[in-house]
Amino acid sequence: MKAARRPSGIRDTKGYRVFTVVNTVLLLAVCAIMLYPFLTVLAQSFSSSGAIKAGQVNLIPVGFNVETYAAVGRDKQFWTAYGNTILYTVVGTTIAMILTTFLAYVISKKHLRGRSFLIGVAVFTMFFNGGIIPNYVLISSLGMKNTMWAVVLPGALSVFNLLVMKSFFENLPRELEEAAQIDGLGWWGIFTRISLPLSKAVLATMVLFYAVAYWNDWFAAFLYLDQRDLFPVTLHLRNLIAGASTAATESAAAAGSQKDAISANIQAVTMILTLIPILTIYPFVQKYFVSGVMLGSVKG
Amino acid sequence: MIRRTTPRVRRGGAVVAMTVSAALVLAGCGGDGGNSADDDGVSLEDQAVGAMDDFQADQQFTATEPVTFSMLWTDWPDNPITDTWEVFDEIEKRTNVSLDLTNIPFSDATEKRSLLISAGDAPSIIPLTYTGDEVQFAAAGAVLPMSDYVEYMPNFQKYVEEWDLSEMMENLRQDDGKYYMLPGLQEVSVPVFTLILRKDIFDEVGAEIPETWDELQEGLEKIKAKYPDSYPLADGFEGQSMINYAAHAFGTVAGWGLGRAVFWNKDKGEYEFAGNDGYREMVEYFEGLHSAGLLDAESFTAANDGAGTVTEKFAAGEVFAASGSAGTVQEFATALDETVGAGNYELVQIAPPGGPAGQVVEPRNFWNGFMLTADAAKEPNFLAMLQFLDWLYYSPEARELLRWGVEGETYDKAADGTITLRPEYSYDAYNINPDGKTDLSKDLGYANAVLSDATESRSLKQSYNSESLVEYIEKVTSTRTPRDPFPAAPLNELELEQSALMSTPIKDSLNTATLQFILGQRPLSEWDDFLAEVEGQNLAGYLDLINGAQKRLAEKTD
Amino acid sequence: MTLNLEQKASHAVDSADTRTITTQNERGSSWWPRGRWKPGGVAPAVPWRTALRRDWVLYAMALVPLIYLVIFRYMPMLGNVIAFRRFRPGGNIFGEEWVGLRYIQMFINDPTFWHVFATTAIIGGMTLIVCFPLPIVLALLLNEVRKTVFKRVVQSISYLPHFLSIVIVVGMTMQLLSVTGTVNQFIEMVGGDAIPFLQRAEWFRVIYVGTEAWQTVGWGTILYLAALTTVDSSLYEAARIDGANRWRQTWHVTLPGIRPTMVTLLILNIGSFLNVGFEKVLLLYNPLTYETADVISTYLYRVGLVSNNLSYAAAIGLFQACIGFAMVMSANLISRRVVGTSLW
Repeated sequence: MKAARRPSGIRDTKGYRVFTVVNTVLLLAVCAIMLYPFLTVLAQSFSSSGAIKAGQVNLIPVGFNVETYAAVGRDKQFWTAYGNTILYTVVGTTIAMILTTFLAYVISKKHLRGRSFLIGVAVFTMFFNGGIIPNYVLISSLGMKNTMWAVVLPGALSVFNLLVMKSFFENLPRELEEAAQIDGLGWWGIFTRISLPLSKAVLATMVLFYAVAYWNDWFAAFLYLDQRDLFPVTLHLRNLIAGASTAATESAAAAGSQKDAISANIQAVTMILTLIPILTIYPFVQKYFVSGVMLGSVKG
Repeated sequence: MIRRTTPRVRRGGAVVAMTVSAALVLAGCGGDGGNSADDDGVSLEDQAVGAMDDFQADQQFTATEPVTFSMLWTDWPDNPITDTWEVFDEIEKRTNVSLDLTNIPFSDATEKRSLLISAGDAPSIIPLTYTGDEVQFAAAGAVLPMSDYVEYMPNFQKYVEEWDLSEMMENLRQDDGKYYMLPGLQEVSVPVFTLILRKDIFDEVGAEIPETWDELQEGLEKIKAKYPDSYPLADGFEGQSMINYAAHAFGTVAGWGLGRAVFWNKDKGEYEFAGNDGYREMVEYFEGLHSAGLLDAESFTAANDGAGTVTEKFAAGEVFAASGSAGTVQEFATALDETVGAGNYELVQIAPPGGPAGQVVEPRNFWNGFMLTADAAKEPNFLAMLQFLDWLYYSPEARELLRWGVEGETYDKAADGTITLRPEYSYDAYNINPDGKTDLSKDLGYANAVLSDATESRSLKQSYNSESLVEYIEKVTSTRTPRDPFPAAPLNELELEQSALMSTPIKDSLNTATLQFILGQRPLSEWDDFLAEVEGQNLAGYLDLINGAQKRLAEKTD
Repeated sequence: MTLNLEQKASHAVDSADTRTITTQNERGSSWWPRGRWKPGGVAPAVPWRTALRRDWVLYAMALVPLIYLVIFRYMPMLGNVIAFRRFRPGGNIFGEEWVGLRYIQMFINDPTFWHVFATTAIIGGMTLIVCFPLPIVLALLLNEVRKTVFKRVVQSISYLPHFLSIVIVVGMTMQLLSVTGTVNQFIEMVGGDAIPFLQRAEWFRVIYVGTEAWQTVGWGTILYLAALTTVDSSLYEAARIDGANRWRQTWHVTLPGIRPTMVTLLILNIGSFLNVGFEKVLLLYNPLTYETADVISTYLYRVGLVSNNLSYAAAIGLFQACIGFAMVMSANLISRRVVGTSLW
């Protein structure tokens, strides 16, 4: 994002310079506390299992080795799961973006008759949902169990995202719309030629939100899939490190301690491998976060 | 087939079936029909597709025609089904049964299983069912009353009798007098979780391996004298494990074993609150340890999440005795190798120490077994399913297959019964043949956690476990007495609802107070005040509920 | 000075747009003169035929999402009827028989439920109060950073906590806060006594809210940063020319510019404040902290260990949903009256 507010030739006030220093220090501190756990897990992924269990790994690997990465890399199942995740994320995000932008655009039109009804219909679903079993039965009776659609469709419209997008659409200047209407564009034309291009920042944000949501989601897969080669990698990871891990019964603890025999470093490696790709989406998205996107269109 | 001459079961089955049918008609239930078997479920002549005519105990079961059964499979993260697995092929070869598996992840298996059964979408066979898991489904009729069908299961009957488990089976009966799951039978049953000590440290300070909790305290004091910065005793399972195996020695139940927070008072012949005098003594004992600086307080509230802090403390020499299972010993060992170095330490699992109530350990346990969802009873090959499961779960041949693989291929059995794993095969989980190329469990699937642990004879169990565990088993069976199991007090559906709401605050109060007293947050002198508080949570009503159920069943079965 | 700013802003606004009450087009003006506010706010209703003719494209565009909502949200919603019917596992998913208000009464009469409800509300409220402003502050701070590289790096790093699984986060929290952990080491260094944080009921809320803040602040800035890009930079120019320093610029240009986003998020968060994270509490709490830690979902979990009563859970869920819904409606209404901006 360009710092459009600071054309050259104007000096900072002293107060502002102090503020900049303080700000930088603060942000660095924020970075440090955000980064620390992540770096520790990264270090663990390169450490030996014993060292991890002994609590010796802090920020630096102990007993450095890349064997675990190699072992995980050789695991076919892991890569199948990875492919699944990518597929679900891409398909899911696409569908979600279509549904959300369409509906958000429509309900952002204040003159529309029935607008309040549509908004109400959407908002109501934010609070009232049927619970696990009715959803399960629905997916099952639609024949979607053990298909990609069971993972992709249930989360394909987030009302939260819908409302945020609606808010952004409403914020677009109406003159543009009116000018376009004079030029003969209908609602669809305005949508594709005016509203969408001007909303790059929020669209990019929504793509990011949905993509991350799909990437991290293990719950839908857990509910609706029971064939291992359909599992996404996040379910695989959850299986590795968690579960409601407070052992409420002895048998659960006994089962758990069998599971814990897995090397602690496999958990760390799987986590890093799951994390990294999604983090790399952000730079691509970021170029849309540019200010002044709407500038030229308003003046005159 | 062996005909079981227990007319009571037959009559009971028929009576229940008629009652249920009547209830169905009255309620006009339009549901999935998952509430009970349509016919009386005892005579299976018309459901005998694939079944053997004269299936007997210790005999290989082979279906007379290929059949398929659906089974729930828990996907263990470190032991997933791979293409190289042979166990299912081998089972199919011997029994003509192919298994249609529904995979659920280990991480939330209970929830998923519960969901599948509740939605009516579960496969027929549900393994990894522990005693108590079936209760909520039994009350609703979502699973089958196995007691109606055991007459068709000769292996099961044989070993229940041989290993003297019939009284324990009685305690599985629900409110209607039937039991709804078949557990895994264990010839010997020892506590899975107990104390793990660093024997080398104990030797160093001249402390003996403790047989009682008081002896343990003496040993810990000696250690503390030598290592003043340590807190030698830790739990690591939020305290639930240690107070569980300690409770039996003090005459009560606690922690994981708390169950319904009631204890059967033999003298009075009724259930009393678990927070009895024995409980109080136990709390006082641990409080004493804590105030003497012998107890690591944190381990009593921190959950062990695999990379638990107790392991770290163990490795760092801050803790020298902790709760754990054989798997935990492995974990400690891996960590200690890093810090102290292999060979410089010795870990030993001791038999749970005795206390005022004697050298008592938990009652003999069933291990995980299976239950059948209601729809299974409608299958035309239902009888074959019963026979198959009987073979799979209770015949020694299947048990050996599920632990060691194929005789002559993966293992050899000597004349005296000793089993040796062939050198090309390894069993990494128990450190057997670490150089073997193919792993019995990971690559072939023979020793898997879903089916293999259920039923074990003593000899089978000892065949794969480490020497120290064998010694542990020997010690416990020879010097410790299992407490008698409590009489059954099954609740019906409505009572179950009530008891869930009544018991939770009572149990919460007990658990909270236990920790508060032990850790010194609340003075022991307030014990009676605490009891009064629990009374105020309608303890009396709760006890009445349970005692009522117990008496009701006692009258029914007399 | 600020008056000039407003005049400039209002010139850019289509002054004919007095029909609406929402002020998204005011672009930076924080004082929308009250006289121009018209209640009601939507266009006078046109007959359906006109509406359809004029807007059929819009209705067509809304059709698929609407069908989606009906199938995937409203149909399962019918399952909530088991709050009033007895549900049996494996039986009819809509329950077996009507039991009326039985389950509602069950939780109303349960004193533990109300205690747990209060705890949930308190934790939820605290989370809202702390975690709502923080992303805004961070976004504004980031906005002031001039070196693009530094800004992007900080942004990316701040997103990391969002991706770490809860189990890892809780595990690390427990290690940090343990009696021998970093925090206590620091305390002892400055001469105090070690505090067993995780065993003291009074500390739980702080710990919970703290980890929530840590995990959500970075990710929460994304929306605000996106919103910041929509603020017309010429307004900053105008403000600077009028002599406003950074603080006044922020107060009079930036904040009003992102106000719609802020309001939207605030209202939505108010609606979900009772949804305190189940897993995090489950992993962090222990009997010593039940008093301040036990929330509705964990309480239900413990009750469900004995008897998996889905009807009871459904009744409580409905209760929570009604509260959330009511709160959002009120928040929306208040926002409309007081600030002039609202969700709908």
